[in-house]
Amino acid sequence: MFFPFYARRLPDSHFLAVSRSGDYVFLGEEDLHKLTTAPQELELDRLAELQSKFFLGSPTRQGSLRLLASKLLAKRETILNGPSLHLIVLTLQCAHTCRYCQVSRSLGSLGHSMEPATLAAACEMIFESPSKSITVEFQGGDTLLRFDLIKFAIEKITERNLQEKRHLRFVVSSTLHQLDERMCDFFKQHNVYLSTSIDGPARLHNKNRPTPTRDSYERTINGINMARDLISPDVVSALMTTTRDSLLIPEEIVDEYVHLGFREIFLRPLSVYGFARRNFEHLGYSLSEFSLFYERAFEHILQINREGGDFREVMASVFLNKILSPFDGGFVDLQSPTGAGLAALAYNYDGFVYPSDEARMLAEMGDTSFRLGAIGETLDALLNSEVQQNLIRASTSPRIPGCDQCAYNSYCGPDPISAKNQAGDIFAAVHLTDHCRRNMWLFDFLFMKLHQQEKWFLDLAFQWANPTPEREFCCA
Amino acid sequence: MRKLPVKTHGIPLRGVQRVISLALLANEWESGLQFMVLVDSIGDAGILEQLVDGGLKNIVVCVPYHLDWHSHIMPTVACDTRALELHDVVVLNLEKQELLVVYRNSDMHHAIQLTNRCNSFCLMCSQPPTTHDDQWLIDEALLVAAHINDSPSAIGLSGGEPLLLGPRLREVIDAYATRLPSTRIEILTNGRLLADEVLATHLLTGISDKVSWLVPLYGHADFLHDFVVQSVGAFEQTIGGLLTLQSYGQAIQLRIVLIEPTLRVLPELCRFIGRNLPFVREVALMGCEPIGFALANRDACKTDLADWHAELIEAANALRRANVPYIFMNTPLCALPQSLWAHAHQSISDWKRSFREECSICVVKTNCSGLFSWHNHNWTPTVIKAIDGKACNEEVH
Amino acid sequence: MKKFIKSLSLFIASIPLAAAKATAELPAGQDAVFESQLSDFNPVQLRPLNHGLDNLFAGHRSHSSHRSHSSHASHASHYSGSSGRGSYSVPAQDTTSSPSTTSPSEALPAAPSFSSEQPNKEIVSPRLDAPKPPLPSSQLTFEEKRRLQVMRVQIALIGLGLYAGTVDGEFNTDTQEALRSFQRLKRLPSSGLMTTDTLNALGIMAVQ
Ligand code: SF4
Ligand code: SF4
Repeated sequence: MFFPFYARRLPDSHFLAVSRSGDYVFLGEEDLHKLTTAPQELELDRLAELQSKFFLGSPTRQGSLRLLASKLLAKRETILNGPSLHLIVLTLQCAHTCRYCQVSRSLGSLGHSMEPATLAAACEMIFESPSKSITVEFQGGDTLLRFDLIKFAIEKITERNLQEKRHLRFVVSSTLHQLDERMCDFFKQHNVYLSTSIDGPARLHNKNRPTPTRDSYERTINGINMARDLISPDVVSALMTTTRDSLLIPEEIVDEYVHLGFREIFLRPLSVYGFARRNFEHLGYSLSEFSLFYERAFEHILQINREGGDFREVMASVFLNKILSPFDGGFVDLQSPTGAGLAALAYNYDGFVYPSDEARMLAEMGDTSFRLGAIGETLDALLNSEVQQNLIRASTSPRIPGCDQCAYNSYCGPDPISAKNQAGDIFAAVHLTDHCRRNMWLFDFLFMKLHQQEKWFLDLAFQWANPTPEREFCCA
Repeated sequence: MRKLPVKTHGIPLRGVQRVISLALLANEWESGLQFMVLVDSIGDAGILEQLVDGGLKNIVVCVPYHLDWHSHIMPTVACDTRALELHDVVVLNLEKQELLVVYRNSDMHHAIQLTNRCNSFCLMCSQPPTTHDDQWLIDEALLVAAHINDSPSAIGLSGGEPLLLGPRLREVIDAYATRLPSTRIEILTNGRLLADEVLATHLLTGISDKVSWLVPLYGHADFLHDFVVQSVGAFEQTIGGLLTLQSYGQAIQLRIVLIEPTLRVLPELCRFIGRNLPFVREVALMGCEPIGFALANRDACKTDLADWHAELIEAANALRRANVPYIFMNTPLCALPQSLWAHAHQSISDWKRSFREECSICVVKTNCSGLFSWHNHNWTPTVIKAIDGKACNEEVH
Repeated sequence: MKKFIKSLSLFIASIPLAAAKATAELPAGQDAVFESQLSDFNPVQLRPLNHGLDNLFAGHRSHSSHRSHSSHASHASHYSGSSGRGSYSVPAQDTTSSPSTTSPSEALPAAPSFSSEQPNKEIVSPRLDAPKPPLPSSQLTFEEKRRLQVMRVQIALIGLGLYAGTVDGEFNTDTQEALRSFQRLKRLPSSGLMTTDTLNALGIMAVQ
């Protein structure tokens, strides 16, 4: 008898079916039909394959069922082990006036940084999570403007961890413009990773991220170089945001990253929050425009690897991890139920805890509906809050109309926070959300690649699907 | 296992003995063990008789045939003593006038057989099971543990199916773990009975961390595996057993014997392992031993590995992609594609291994597993063909 | 190959039907119910163990996917066969209770049938007369260790022709006298005691 699974006709018209365990097969219409009506008529090899991938089974097969239960557990590890990604939004101050930024405040503005007492409470709260690995990421604004707060928090958390013995990691997200030797010393001493933004070549970056002196790119590069010299060559990772101006130069953007010595790039579409929403005509683009951009960049990256380079695209890696690996890579934005709250928490400078970075940005724009509670409340209270329960309800893919019939629901689920932002409702019809349309497109794209069975590509795909500790996704 | 013809005098019972010299006896003697003392002169034999006079009950004297002598006051074994080494653990089989070397320090591989019984009936079983009660083997294995005077890097506990010992398997494991403190204990089992929670709890709770489990898997679907082991339900039990082992943090080596039914599905089986059993320490891909049931099931078991290179490479790729280490065992290098040579091990136990005439001109002989001595010209893993210097690159060195 | 597929198909056909349709059927196509049924099973952590705490494959993954020969040789297991040795025959004293068996190379078994019948797996209680292995010397009492030490010395002295008494573990005057002779021969202080130097000269290690 067959187990629940969903099939999908890919754009190249082949059938793909994915079982609850996340195992997939490409199969013809005839086999698909037999699978659901008369599995015993399948060829033996096909039968064995479908059985081994949990399309077929029986309640008497106790070993296999226990295996299936174990596999489902492995897939949910990220959301079952307690929040592991803790974002602390220290300040909104920033010297930039980025075109797509929603939240930052000018340097002079007061009252947009976290009070030390609040920060101290946040540092304690982090340890309420049962997770054995904890990543603390400092966000801004531009965090290095408040190095004093970073130092305070890292020292406090490190001290508490002497007893807790969690596997700790710190990430500071910053333009790196203010980085100096003293900071580097401190970061080196505490094993801190740095995350910065590079949108592409200087002219694009400086256009996207204006500063009064028009040298944002140059100053960030200086910061990167200083960090690599004084801390370690691998200490900095970079993020890019795709704007309308990026669309025509995918290869150039990738080359910029390679040239700067990065080993990966995260080709992120613009998230349409805050100012970006208001500036949509200038910055925004449709999914098909983005997908053209992405596919060009992707092919270019494949070419680099084919020529012996070691360079990966992070979004594809996250998706391939879902498809090919029995272990979840820990990327909080692609979980079902959502990783927002369950796997990640954002402690905002305003004294409240939000389930994600996006949720706190929405709050900045006036929608505070995702507040889980105040810093200092118990984790239990936050996770049992009405808000969190609704987030879970709105993102458990097998129970969401649309997702319930989707072949990708073993890998994916709705993102209620972006749904709220886009359509005003966390339960918005999933197929109409950007999140769903983009994910479906990328899954289709990668499955078509996998179906071509090119040995070389498969090798690369499996490599990307297995994150290494230094390259885990959750800080991306 | 090495067997040696002997002539015995005055030995009442089959028993386990430690082979020793007169010079070492004083240092190692203890009352609970049995010693077989090698002597090559009547004079030394006389000293032993004096010890027996002095009250030592647990010594047997072992003399070469040419002395043509036996003692009237102590048990005597005559044999070709050159075939024995000090600290060999031997069992005397009086019925057959045969001495079995069950443990030898200088061997690379050590194995102790715990039972002849099995709950599977594999197509290629090298040692077809019997159904007789053979509890005495357990007692003997415990004695062997006490008689070993060394802690080798690893020792295998095999069968038959060791799990059929039930709770007593733990007794044996504990005995070896205490006696041989720096030895890895490797249990060759089909894992089926570990699906039984009560037995699993008894065997695995608090077990020595020196233990690892060598478990065969022959298919990715029940009917494939069950066919090879000729037992319905075995696959589900083995999968359950593997999960139980993992839940107790046990080290596991999966073993796949390369015969036609497994070679056919090898790539898919290895993909299955990568997706579902990624916790195993390693997968061993093993050439089939032409012995036991394999001879009777020649159709399924006799294969030329050269015909299956594509499958072997694809299977290796699947394991590599899933980061599951793998090794080839019992596969001469000339039977493997060269890209897999680096994964081939010299796995055939010393006393089972042989080479062919052809091998003497082969440039990779020193890295090659060779053949089982019971491989004959009718049955080799492939056509044995010497590798010449040109065909071989640095990869093997 | 054909022949094999045929026997495989036969094998499948012979699987008892009872096994195929069992107790409570899992409802197909209904995820929620499906998963709640699965929750009866005790799931197992599938990640390789002992590979670092950070649950991201530390140590298990390396940047390059190539694993060197030597890196896993350390935990490779090398038993070449499905078992390590040929079949045993039953011990001589046991012939009454169990008939002796022959080793596989001597008598070829018939090809296994396709039946699912299993060999007898019942475990009988251990024989009472089974010889019991001794305790490791580390588990002996102090008294027992000393006895053993003395016996070993007596054995050595007999071997040297210096002692002709019994090997009884009693540190009696004969034994002491023999030790003194030995010590004189070796130019050691002739105390008649089992000093470390004396034991070393006798080639006997102190019982631990
Ligand atoms: S969000 Fe879209 S792509 Fe993801 S599971 Fe739901 S329907 Fe499928
Ligand atoms: S010819 Fe002999 S030594 Fe050379 S690879 Fe073949 S079996 Fe090994």
